[in-house]
Amino acid sequence: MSTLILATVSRFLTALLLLVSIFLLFRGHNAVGGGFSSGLVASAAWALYSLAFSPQALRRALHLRPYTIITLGFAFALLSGLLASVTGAAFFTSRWIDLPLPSGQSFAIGTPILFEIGIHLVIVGSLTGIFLRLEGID
Amino acid sequence: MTGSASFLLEIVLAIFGAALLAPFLARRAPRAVSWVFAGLLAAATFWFAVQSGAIAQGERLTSTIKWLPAAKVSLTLQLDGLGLLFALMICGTGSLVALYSGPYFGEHEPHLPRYYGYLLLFTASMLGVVTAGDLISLYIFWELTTIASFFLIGFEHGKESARKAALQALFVTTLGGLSLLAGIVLLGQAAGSFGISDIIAGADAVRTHAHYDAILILIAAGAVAKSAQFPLHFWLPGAMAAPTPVSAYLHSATMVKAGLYLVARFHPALGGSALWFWLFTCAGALTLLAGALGAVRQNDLKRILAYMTVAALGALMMLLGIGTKEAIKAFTVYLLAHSLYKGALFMVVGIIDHETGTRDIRRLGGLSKRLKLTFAGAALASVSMIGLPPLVGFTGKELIYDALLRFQSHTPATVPSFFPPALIALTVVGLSVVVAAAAIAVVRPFLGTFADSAGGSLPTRGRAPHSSAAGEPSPSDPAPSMWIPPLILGATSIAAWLTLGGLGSHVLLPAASAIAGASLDLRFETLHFTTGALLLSAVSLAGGTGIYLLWNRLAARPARISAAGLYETTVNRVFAFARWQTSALQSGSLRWYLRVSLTASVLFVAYIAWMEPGWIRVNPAWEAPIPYDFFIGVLLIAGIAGSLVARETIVMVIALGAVGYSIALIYLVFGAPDLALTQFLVETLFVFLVTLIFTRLPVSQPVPSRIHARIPDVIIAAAVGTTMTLVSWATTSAEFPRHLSEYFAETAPLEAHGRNLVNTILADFRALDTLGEIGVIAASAVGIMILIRFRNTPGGAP
Repeated sequence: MSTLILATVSRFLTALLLLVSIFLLFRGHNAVGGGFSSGLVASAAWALYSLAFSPQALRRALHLRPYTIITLGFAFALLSGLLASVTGAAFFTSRWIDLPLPSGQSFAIGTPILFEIGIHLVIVGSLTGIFLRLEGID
Repeated sequence: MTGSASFLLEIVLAIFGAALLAPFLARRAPRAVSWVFAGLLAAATFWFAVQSGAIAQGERLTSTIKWLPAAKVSLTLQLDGLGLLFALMICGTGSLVALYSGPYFGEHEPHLPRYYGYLLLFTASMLGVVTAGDLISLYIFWELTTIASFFLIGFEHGKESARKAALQALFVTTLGGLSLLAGIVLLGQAAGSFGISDIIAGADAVRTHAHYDAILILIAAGAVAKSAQFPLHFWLPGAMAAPTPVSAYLHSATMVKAGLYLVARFHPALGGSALWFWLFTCAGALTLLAGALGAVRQNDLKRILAYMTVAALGALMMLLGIGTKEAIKAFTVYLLAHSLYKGALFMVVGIIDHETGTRDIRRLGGLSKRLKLTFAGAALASVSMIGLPPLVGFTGKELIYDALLRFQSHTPATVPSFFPPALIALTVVGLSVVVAAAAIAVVRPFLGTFADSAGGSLPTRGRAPHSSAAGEPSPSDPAPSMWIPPLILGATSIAAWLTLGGLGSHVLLPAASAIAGASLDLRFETLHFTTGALLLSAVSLAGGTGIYLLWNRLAARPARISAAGLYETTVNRVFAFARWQTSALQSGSLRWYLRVSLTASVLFVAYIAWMEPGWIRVNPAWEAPIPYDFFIGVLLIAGIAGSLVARETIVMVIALGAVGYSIALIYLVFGAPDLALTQFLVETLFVFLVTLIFTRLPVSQPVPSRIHARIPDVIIAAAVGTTMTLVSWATTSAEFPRHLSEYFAETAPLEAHGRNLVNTILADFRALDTLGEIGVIAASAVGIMILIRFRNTPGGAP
């Protein structure tokens, strides 16, 4: 199903969409976005890639098996909760640290972002896994 | 009673850790692994034995981990006299079984890694059961033993008999386990705490509580199932499909005693009432009878021993039911004696099986010439089982009779006077069969006159490599690690009898005191004679000899109604019903599922509307529509119309996508940007996925059907649409409580460092729910991926 126009444009578009998904992932806490939408955008990016090139190319681009991506995502999500119980609080208490920025403000980073990354990976892994399986690739 | 920190927790966790490491170790060093684990458990036995000094002084050792401090849930292990007695048995027999398993399976057994893993898992869980300090940990460890037993019984999972037996044991013991859970919950609520020492301290409140009867019956059901009491005793003979080391360990010395442990542990809290007495005494007595009657019909050595275990468990339960000081004393001694001799006998049977290839007593005889050292161990075990000095089985039996006679002479007023003599008569009969079975198990194979098994006309099936040669005719003593454990157990029986005074005051008395709930004043004597008990023993000895001589004739009679048969019929009926129901409701057609689900939902809402008509608002507040709304409406209707008239699947899917986009636009217009974003993305991916499905899977293209075939669907669709409209109108007209939104609006920027309320709720406040959601997504994705693999089956209509 690949045509020259689609192939040329997709190279650019896929990269852009993946960047957008990462952007959505990190801004989710304060504005529209979050793990679920970023995962879906990334899956859409990969879907476009497989349409433009081939499912085998998608598998190569992913590097990891979809099962592995799902497991990794779920592990990150669990880890973000366990980090809290390691420090003695209840499971899934969010932990934040303040990083000082050169401009004098401080930047707060915490366990929820790890959780969001986990969600993202689970969704990407699930959807690309289904795509690839439909095309007959493991 | 002071509690001191100890290595208790570390030991239990170490054995769990060993269970996890066992598969790797067994793969690397198959020959050494039995010694390693035997050594580990022997060290544990030694540690427990050393603790007996402190425990005898009245101390109780505890270890605690705070699991979830917010919910006040912690894992507490405690060791008192009762736990110590059981722990010694568990670790001691476990160590010997681990040693025995090595040559039994041989180092070429491919599944040996699994075996040791499960065996150690069981050992650790069983230790957890007897040291659990609170009800929840007790239950968790209890169910872990059930699971480990399931895997061990079904170890040779290629054989259907093993699979069926494992499943049967699982069903019966899990049924008991669920009942136990219900009883535990009620007990915890009645006592106000889930800690076992708290419950025992507040025993009076429990005994007079309104739920007492229910608690007792539920917990008793758990004990009855686990300890193979009548009528749930039939799984134990079936469990003989397990490898013999497993039978020696789980189904004679440890796991089946877990029910007895439970009853003994709760005796201070729940015992003393009439219900307790009747429940456990009758269950125990009936079990003793059932075991005795079942044994005389068997020709397989393992089955005979299994029924004898059932009988012994019945006798022990009966003693706990009676609950007098003497009965508890008899309980502790007989418990120990039984574990020692039954474990040894099972190991001997395993050796016989290993060397001669058969367990049928009709085909065995004269083995004492060949299996000399095995015979020594067997002789010791059987003499203990028959109940003769100088082995501790003698004292155990005497004490049982003693307790029954004392009970008869001091019968409480609530018990009818015919009951104690009936119990005595029953026990004499039961113990006579025990004598006979002991003789059958040892005298026949070893000293019997059937010469063939020693002469070698039977094939030697043993798993050790040396017996593979066709010219190897006669069985001989196996590797030392196989005949040494029975000898050790026999020697322990002798030693226990000789040192009964010291053993009694250090180990048995604390256990008995723990069962009674108060310090008992008991003395254990090696030379313990009472005329009445001796008389009864003589009677049962004579009876046993008679049964032994008549065994062949008794074994020929067929069995009538059996509890096992009842189980079979019930299970088959349940499965037949399930099959019928599944084929009726789950036809495989997606259209059918949709029709049923949607109709059911509409009917449900209609029912609610009929009950409370007030929530239907037919004229909600209208707002003036803006131009955007017209555009969205046009797109929506165009999409719907397109999907209805489309002739090709692709067009239909794209039209449905347009409908989805317009819904997303509605979300956007109404001020839910997160939702709109997700909806746009989901719709895009939906179109992509469905197109892929239709082009890649062998799905039949939808055929436009005649108009009148579509009428039911039209009606359902209209009904669903109307229902959803009414529901939407009702919800938007309702007054929503605002306090949740206010709470989140205030807390989110401060504590969650975020201004996107939806996202902070998903990822922070309610992260646990979201974890469950992505778990579901992951699981369904994996399921879909696996199912797509089977897409090559033709004719897969949706």
